[in-house]
Amino acid sequence: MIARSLIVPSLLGCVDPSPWENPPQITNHVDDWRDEVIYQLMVDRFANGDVNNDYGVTENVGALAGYHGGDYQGVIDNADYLQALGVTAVWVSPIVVNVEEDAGVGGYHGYWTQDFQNVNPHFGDIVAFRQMVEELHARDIKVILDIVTNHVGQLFYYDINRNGQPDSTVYGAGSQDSEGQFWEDPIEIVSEWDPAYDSRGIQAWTSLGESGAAPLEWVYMPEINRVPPNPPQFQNDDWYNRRGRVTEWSDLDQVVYGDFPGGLKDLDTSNPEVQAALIEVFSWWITQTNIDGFRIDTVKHVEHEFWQAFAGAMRDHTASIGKENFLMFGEVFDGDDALIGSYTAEGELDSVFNFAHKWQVFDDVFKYGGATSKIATLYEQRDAHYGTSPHPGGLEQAPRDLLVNFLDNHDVPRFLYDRPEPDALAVALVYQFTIDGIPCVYYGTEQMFAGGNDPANREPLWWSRYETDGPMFQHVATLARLRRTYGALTRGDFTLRWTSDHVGDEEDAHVVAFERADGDQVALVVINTQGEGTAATAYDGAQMAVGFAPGTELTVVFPVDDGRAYEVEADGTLRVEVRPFEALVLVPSATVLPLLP
Amino acid sequence: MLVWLVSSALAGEPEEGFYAGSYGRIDTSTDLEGGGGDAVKVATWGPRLELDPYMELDLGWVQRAQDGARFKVLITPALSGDLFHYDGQWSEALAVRNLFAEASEFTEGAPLSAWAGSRMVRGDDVYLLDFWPLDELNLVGGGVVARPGRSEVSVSVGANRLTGSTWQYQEVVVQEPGSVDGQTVVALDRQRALGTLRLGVEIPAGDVTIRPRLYGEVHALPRGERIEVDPFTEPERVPMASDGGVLVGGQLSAWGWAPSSFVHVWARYASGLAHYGELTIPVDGLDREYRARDAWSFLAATAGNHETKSFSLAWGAYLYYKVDADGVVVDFDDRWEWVEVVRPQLFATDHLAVGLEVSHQHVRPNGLNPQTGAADEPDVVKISLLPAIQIERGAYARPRLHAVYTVSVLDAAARGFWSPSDTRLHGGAQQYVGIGAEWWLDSTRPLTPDAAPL
Repeated sequence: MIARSLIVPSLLGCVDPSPWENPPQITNHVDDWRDEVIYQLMVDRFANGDVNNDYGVTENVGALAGYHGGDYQGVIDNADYLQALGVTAVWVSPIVVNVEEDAGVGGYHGYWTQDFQNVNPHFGDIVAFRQMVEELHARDIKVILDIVTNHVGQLFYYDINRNGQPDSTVYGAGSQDSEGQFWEDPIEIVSEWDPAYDSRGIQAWTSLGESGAAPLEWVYMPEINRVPPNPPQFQNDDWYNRRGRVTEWSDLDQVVYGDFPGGLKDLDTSNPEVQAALIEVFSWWITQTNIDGFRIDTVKHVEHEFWQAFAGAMRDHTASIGKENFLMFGEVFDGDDALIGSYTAEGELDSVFNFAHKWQVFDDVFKYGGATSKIATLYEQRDAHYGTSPHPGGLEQAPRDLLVNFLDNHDVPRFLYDRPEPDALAVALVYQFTIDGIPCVYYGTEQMFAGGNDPANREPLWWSRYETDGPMFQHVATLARLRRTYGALTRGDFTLRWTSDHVGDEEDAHVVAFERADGDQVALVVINTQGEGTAATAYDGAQMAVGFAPGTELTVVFPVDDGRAYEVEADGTLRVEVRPFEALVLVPSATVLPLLP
Repeated sequence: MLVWLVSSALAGEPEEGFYAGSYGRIDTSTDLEGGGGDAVKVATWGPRLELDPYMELDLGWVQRAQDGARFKVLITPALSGDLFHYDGQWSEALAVRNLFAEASEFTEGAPLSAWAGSRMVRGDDVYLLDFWPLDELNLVGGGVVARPGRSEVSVSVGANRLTGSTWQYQEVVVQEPGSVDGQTVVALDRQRALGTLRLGVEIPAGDVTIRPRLYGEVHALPRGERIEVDPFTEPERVPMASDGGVLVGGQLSAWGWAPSSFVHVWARYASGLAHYGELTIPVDGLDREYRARDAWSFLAATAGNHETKSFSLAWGAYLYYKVDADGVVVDFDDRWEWVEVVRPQLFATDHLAVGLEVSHQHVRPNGLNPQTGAADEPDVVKISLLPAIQIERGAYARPRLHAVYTVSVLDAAARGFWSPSDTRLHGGAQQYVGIGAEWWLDSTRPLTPDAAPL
């Protein structure tokens, strides 16, 4: 024992791993999430820091549906890159062990959970993850972990024809009636991995008819890690809804109780035992890794009652371990602003992705040139749709002030795919970084990646060689510095000052302007969302009313070193001209500050 | 080993003509629960008792020229793996371990030997653990040995080109010019160059001989380029960085105070490819350029035997620290190992002996066990009872028939080195009973240093 504890470790620089056995010390790094800039990265695609965990990495570099080798060591190695970009929080894709592959597609993204409590070995081990968290925290970069509570991977099949093997069976002869009016015996393909939704539960049947509930059969294919889930209590058939794949997305029952397409089996999250198990495993991850938040997948596929239980339990847990300001924001992949906001009702999530803004503003307005008045419509609905007061025991800010604003992510085409104009992206980024809420930048945006739908939008970042002197990288970095310098742009109240219905050659076409005010600090942002012509905050003789006192001189602080200045007129209005794709940030000249590093 | 082979005929080698020899071992066992006995090993090298069957057959010819120059050709085919009579598969693995010609006594007055071909170049081993701590190199090439007086200087150079992956050699199918057919061409062919130097001297000290040795080994692999082959995409040329490694170490041996009694002590440092060994394709723990050059290891070891007419005590032990090239500090793959084994034996008659072997394996990884998430330090203790019938008294007297009963005690950390799904390891103690045999019949493998001095 003496040799082990004293002599041996002192020789040859021996490493004692035992400190890593225990959960890390819980530390707090967030004052106000509105100050943060989130960077979404897919671990498999960000950086490959350790080639020794490249199990099954595809040799075809263009095959983006397979593993490509990124890992936590890669994040550690490229922490300088993140810091140079100016992001202050990193959202990392799921950590848990996944089904390795399905139909030639890899589980690199992390959304096919097989083991809720172990680290996907493709990305490293628990030590590597903890080291990553520690390294990022040392740089004041917070870590948000992506989690999935709605479903597990394709771990079982429904034995519909009860032949004891997973089949894809073709039924029907394809015959029509004698007049060719309707299908008498249509052709139907039934996959026992992923059958269509049945509200009764998936039924066993053959051409002779039904025969009751189809047995759920767990699969043992360890060579692709398609094995029953861990912890073992998740191997309970009754913990799954067993109704098959969602086919009608407007049917709320299907959305909540159906399997996610791809055979991702829906957990019965109304079951208190399931709730308790999910609360336990995800509380465990917080304790084990000292992370600062959760990004939660597929929120609308889970009952509100679950979110009330889960979010409350997480708040209790983080309070019990001394973790402050733990953020939970969810993905409600929908265009219905009211539905999206409903998950921020009292006791539920701290925040959600601002999908309404993504579709109706970043897409309709910035990508496709729609009227900026759409922005006003959304803001008018904000208080009605989103939680307006802080959650008991949670963050100090109300959900309405914490929405996570994004241009694109791993589930939608990149901005430049749909609108391949860097200037359009640049001006959209200014809007994203200056409106209220928390900006979230999808990795590769700074490198002007332009991939289309999944998986084309999941390019390895190393294709960029991690260049930091490119124009978009510098643009994002400057916007991050601007937010650090002017607190009004992060915590300030938001007031829309000008939007327009015009999309032609009218004076104010494509213009949006707003103020952010935080006490004495006020900033005015004026944006020409399109590149069609110079526009202004004025139309038909009327000018934009602003919150500054008449005679206040405003200086343009973005673009940096612009030098232009404006004076608020005696009637409290201001006409600001913005060139095509130009965005200006102005502050009272008396409050101009040197840009923080 | 090299010196012994080239310097003079071993006991079984004739002055001229054909000769044969063999080394072999074979064991079979039961776990007393209906299954076969299984090796229980958590360290890199474990007790020899649990090795798979193996056999070498030495076939040699010696010819002398009229002026006395001596030429020898040695061919050593070897078999390993489960035997046909056990698994019913006609599939024992065959390899040629020696295939070389050697010339000696060809220069009057100059104690030189030379060889060319394919051979094992080996020094002394830790018999009870079946490993060579310092000088063990298998290569195709040649060498020269000078043996002035009681000293030796030997140099070997050679190469290998391992197949089984696209690390050193790759063939691809390309379009045949002027045809719609495909033809196979070599896309990658990079040899690992190997070189060794060994210096030694025997120093008599009364009845005892002391022999210090220095040994060095160099591995060099040039850069190359392989082709990523995927039928659904254009072939892509992937550069492969050059790599290399060195091994340096020393050995101190003594023998002569009693028959078949000796002691060896080794220390060595190895880096890069030399750390992995010449027959290993390094696939784990590499740097981002897929190189092994930053891997290193330190090894200290000892082995020996002391015996009298009725008793012997053999031992072996090593202390090993290895670090791979991936740069990860808290790394389960980087570790300390220390292993000790002792085997006392009593010789009741000229042919009946009974031995007791006790061994201990300890591993101290620098990282957490990915299976348990703990800083596991497994310990395995084994005790074996070894009654034997052998050709004569002595720890190394062979041929020998033996029975063996072994119990292995594993702590929880050691059990954590096996998959929970592995039904072979269901408790903290494993046992087996077996019978086996081992022989050296005029083999080129010397048993003890006093059997083949310089």
